[in-house]
Amino acid sequence: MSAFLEGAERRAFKQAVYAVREEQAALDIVQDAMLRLAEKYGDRPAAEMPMLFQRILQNAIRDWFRRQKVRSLWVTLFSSLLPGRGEDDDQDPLETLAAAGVSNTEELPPDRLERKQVIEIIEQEVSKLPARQREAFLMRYWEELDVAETAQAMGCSEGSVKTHCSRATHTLAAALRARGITL
Amino acid sequence: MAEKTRRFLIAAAFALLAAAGIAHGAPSGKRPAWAELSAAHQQILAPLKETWEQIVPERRHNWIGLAKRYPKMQPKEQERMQRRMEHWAKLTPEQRKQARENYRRISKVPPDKRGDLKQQWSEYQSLPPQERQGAAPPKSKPAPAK
Amino acid sequence: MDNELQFAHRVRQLLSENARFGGPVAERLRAARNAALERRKAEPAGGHVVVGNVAGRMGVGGLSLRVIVPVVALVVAFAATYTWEQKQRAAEVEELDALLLTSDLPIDAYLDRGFEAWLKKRAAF
Repeated sequence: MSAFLEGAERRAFKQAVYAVREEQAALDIVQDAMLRLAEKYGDRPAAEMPMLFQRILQNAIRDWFRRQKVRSLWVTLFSSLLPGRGEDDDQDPLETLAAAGVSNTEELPPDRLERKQVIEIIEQEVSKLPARQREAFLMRYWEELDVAETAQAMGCSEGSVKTHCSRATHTLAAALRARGITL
Repeated sequence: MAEKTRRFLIAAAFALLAAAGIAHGAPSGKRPAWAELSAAHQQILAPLKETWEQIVPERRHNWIGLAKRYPKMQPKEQERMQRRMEHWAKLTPEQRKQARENYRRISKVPPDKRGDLKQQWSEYQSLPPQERQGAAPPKSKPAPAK
Repeated sequence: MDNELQFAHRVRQLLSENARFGGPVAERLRAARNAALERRKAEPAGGHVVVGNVAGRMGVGGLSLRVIVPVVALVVAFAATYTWEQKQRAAEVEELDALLLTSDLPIDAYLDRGFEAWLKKRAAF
């Protein structure tokens, strides 16, 4: 299990980052998933580990979103009660503009793109995929689980896994093409 | 599927064996040796000292149970029990079973009808053997038809 | 489909490149892993896990455990009941023996096949 986790932890971290877009939260999620795996399934055969770990990881990510939702509900409640909310609204467009500016600079012609930038763009687009599509795509093609294992980890049918995968591939390919990247 | 069933049967068989072991072992697991008995029990069960090692574990526990009841008995009963021990221990399990069965039946006869048992017994013993045998239930010795 | 696979393969390569990082994040992951391994359930050892492994290799791990646990529970219950009944029977026998050994009548009276029937016949009159 030690060897398995050592090999899988960085990818797991990346997966969590794609999902929650926050490094600290992703680290917490991976740590939580590792603990759960060790406590509950420490005695399982090594062959089952990848599937189990993926299942736990995705659950941990979902838990995080659930907690976020509850937290943001409180934040909304509080901020609606507090005065001076208008100031925040004023600031938002500025930030949006700045963010848009950054993303504009990224959309450079393909020949001028560095490999590192390509990777970053792929990561961004993976991050933008619908959650289930991203899960299926990463499990199948990055974690190299087979269709059955992916279905087991996601708790859905093998048919859905195939559908999610193929949709994810098409969405991703289209998004990358739109940014001038063909793989 | 056949493999699964086979596995299941093997597992079940093992479990059953284990259970049988537990069930069988529990009441008679230890066979207390004479030396392991308390001094008080040794004194009560003294008539069995010589034959104790030949008594099966289950019976030994039975005797220990009787020894525990002994202090609560009347002196007359205590004397009777000790006098009868050896005889009782030498009987076969079937004989003991038969005797218990008879005891149960006799004690069911209402006391006012059965009279004094001791007197009845001596009266019965004084009967000629033929008559005594005739009284035996037909299953053991069919009564001659007349 | 081939295109899809090829594309996926390229994505994997590129993503993997970015997943080979060191630094504080890697350090924290390592610490998390060690903490998890310390809390790990007992290492596979002993008969219990052997059953699991065998079952796992047979491909019936889930089922066999699901079957074995109730069977074992049933068997334990059966054994307990049996033991309890044995004890009850032993107590009954003991009670009877105590009465018999201290009875007014000698043991021979109870061993005699005819006496009980004779007594009953007399009692009936």
